[in-house]
Amino acid sequence: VIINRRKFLGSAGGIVSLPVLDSILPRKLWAADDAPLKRFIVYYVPNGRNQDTFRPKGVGKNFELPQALAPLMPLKDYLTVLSGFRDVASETTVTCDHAKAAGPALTGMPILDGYKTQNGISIDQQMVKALNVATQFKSLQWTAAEPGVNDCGSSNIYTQVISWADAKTPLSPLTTPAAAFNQLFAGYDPASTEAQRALREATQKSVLDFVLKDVQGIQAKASKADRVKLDEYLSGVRDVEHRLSSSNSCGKEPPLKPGRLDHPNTVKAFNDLMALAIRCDMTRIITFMLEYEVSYRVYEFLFPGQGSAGHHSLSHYGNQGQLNQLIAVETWETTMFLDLAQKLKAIPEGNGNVLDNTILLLMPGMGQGANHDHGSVAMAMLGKGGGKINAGQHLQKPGEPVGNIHVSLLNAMDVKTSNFGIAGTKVVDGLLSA
Amino acid sequence: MSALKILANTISIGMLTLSCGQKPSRIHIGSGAAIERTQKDSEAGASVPLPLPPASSLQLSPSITHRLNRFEYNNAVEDLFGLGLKPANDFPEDPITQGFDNIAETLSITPALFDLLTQSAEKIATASLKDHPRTDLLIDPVAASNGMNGNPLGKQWNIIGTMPISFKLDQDETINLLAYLGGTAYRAPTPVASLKLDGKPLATKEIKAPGGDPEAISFSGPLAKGEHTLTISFDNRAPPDAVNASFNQMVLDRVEIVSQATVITKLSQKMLECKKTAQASQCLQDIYLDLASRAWRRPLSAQEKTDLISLWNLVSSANGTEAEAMKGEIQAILLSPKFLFRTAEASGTKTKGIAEIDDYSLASRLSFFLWSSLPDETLLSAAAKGELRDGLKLRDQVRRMLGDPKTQRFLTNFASQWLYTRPLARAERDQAVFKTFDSELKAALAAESQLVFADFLSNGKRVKDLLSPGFTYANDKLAIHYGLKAPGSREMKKVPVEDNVRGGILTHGAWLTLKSEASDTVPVKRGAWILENLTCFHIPAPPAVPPLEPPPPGDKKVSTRERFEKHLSNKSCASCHNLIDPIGFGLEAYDPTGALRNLDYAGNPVDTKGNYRGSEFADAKGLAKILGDSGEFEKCLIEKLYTYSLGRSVDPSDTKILEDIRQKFRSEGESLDKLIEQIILSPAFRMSDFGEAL
Repeated sequence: VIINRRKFLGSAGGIVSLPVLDSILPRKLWAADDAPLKRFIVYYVPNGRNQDTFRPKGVGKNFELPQALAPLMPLKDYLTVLSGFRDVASETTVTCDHAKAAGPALTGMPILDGYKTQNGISIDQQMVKALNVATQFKSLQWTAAEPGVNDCGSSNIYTQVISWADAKTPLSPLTTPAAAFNQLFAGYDPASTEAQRALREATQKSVLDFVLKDVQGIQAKASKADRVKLDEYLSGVRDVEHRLSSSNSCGKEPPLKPGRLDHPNTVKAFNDLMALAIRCDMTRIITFMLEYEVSYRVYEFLFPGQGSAGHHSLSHYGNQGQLNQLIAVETWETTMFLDLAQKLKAIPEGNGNVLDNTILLLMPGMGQGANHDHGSVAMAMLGKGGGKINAGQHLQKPGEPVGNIHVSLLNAMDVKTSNFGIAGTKVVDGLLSA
Repeated sequence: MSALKILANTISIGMLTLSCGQKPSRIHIGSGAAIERTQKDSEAGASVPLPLPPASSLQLSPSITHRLNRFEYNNAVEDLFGLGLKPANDFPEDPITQGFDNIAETLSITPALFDLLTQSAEKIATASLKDHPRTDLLIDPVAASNGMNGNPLGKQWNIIGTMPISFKLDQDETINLLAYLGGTAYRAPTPVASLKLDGKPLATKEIKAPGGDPEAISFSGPLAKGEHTLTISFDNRAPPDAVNASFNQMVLDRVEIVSQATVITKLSQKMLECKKTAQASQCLQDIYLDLASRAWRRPLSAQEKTDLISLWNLVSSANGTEAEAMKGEIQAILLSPKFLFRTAEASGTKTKGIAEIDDYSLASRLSFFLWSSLPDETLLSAAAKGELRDGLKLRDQVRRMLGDPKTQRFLTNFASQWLYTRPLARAERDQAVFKTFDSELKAALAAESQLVFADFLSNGKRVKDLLSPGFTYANDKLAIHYGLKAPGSREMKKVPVEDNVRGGILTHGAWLTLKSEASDTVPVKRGAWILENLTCFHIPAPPAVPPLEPPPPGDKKVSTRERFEKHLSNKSCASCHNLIDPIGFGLEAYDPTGALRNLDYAGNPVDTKGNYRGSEFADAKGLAKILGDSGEFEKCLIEKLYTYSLGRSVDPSDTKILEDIRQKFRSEGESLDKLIEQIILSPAFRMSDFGEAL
């Protein structure tokens, strides 16, 4: 029996004793006992992709990997490339070009005013909501982007956030592996004794009870807009309460906390933490922004001593040298995506591995970056989604809405729907296995 | 924003325009009538000083709850505990809307943020009670070596000869010093380490422990305040022989210096003192009730006191100690919505939903505007006495607050956002071209904008002189970068600037850098930044036009200007780009790092002729004059400060109030401090629309 957790909590008036909650919500609530646990991870990449080196030659099962996807050769059986799609939500969006890319990427909704907070729920959060699985974290949002450099001419929620809990709630990602680590292993002190830990948890529970009561007092006299904020606050309290009383399949022993790292190692540290969170079943839904939209990162380490303009300049290349560098940057980003895929593939599960049961999506927010094109968009996907994804093919669908990819991914994750966003109306033919 | 709203704005304050082609609608400020009215006001002030208009005459925006943003959270925690922690640095980035990260509408608490707030509260609680050694130095051998007397071996240092390590004590100490050494002996003799402290032998020892598992050579004893040098010598280093081609090795893993004296935290000290009193539990109670009242920025209600006391009893009875109970209190106080959210409460009766905000809400508004943090005790006590209701006393508080060092936070925070210096630390340039662009230069560039703005808080100049103040701030590095005479200092100094090639906001390297890309300038971005940030002209989003063809690969020597003139060839693009681009072209003499240049990226001579909404100009100096004379710059700065002070975007209901602020500010000399005063004295700051009864 799946109990709607929010509804249940609401009826209890907000004060919930956790043992009850836990007995109602067994940890593996995802699906029938022998069905595989399925995971969904988005790996967002910035500034579009150079289509000539991202779109495979040949369609169907016989396709040739293009230059920027060549690193994925060892996992070709797990690879699905989608190309030629049209992003109607982005085309309808009225704000700057890069907010057009990231803002609607997972929501399929157009942004009509770049300075107001108004989008739609994103597919990852739709999965969270519909599947209501009781993992420690309903979902995680992280980024390896450099914080702060957003100058797209919109609120940064449309360039730095792809996950939206609802139309008004952007879920900003954490920006360092250390913060992500802290999120996963909240204040765990390996030097503490069992008794100390129990005491700490007891104190925390008392503190949470205190603030729950506190917020109720405020709620009574709050305006409608403020109540939304207090509700968000309350979901935060309840998530932490839930976490205090639940455990993951790896126990509480965390690995070493990552320190200061260069960019490639920062990305790899995030990949490690994502693989760990999945392995320990701390969550099943992750969105990771390798960069924020409009990435100006200068890839000194790829072109030592040669000089290089930033990624954004390269995406608007003016000569062959810059185009070559752009392809090298995009190819490097593919290797980071591959790194995570291989870490997931190395985790055995059932008769196979975790990648068999995962959908890992390499997602640029636009097609050709040079002209901010949304008319022909390509994405790459690794994993078989527990057998739901008809992997190992290139699907070329000129003009088909990106919204249909959203609909397909939702269905692949057992969220039955035929609509999503403003343009998703059906599953992409041939993407899901019958 | 609906079309209707936009229209209202266009007509009333000229803040927005429907299309780029339209001439801005300007209001003529400073007319005789306006000044007359202001004078009347101040005469009336003799009996009712700086009064608020009647609520029935006002239209105000509804008040919205703010979540403390990262900067405010760090400051508030610092003002409460003084621990030097910056826990919010790990929080997700705050949304930036209207150019600022303190806009109430978008500041909420997501589950991930709540996680980190929980951890942060625990971390602060622990740190505030954690007694620690007075000195606690961990010396990294690679950094300490300065690259001499050996070579790095991962994180360890492979010592050759004698390695000196300097350290400093802030006071006389009795210390424990531990040097961790390991060795590899391929042959006799076994490596011997000789340690000296300030030239006096400490120890001589054979090092038999392997490098991977080093042993400590320790010393304990008194040491005076000041600089000290520990030397580690390895003098019997056996060279390679026929059996093994390596030298014998000795590696330094780390040096730890810990004082034997313990520092008791302020909070533990207070708790210890309580225990000496007759009424220990009452005394402890006062500690956390006091803390709650300061953190929540108002006196506690009886219910709040009861709840806090029950929490103490609950935690201390559950096998806990007083320290654990105090930690619980701190966590509860910091996690409470009363700390995390800032809400204005109404005082007295409402007229059509409008009322003054209460004394404590006003105290918080003031302190979060000017200090980005909690009110201090003086401000809270002024609130308690009802003094903030009195316009003159309110103004006195503002003047007192502007003189407090905490105002630095306003200067940093407002200027870093408005003058766009904040992301600079992360900006990168093509290192093959811009070889001097390093973190030192970036820090100087950011400091320049902030220091120039800070200067205006006390220099009494007109705010429009920000465009041509005749001075700037620079250190040697920045002066050389700009081609100015170096002030002979690594610190930033105020330097005179002739002829306005430098000094005005338009020529600040920080924003000029950030509105460029790694290898070239982008005139469109610079033009758009000037329009949006210095004249508050809201550029409409580009229409849905077919994308431009991607540029064909090739090595054409096209000038930056020519590349961007492509925008003008398409009619629907041209209506806006005709406005934006010619402003940016005027700054083509400043390269992507803000330095002066004669040739652009492609090697073409730069052309700085430009056009601001129909008025032609020759260069940055000409543009600065047009912006200053038009009055739009000043009007825009008022709007920006107003937005920041209230933490919400400007809407049509603000038109009249903004006009009124501008008139009063003009009659008082147009300086920055007077502008701040007038914003705070305005009804928008002191009143709110609370809506009809719920």
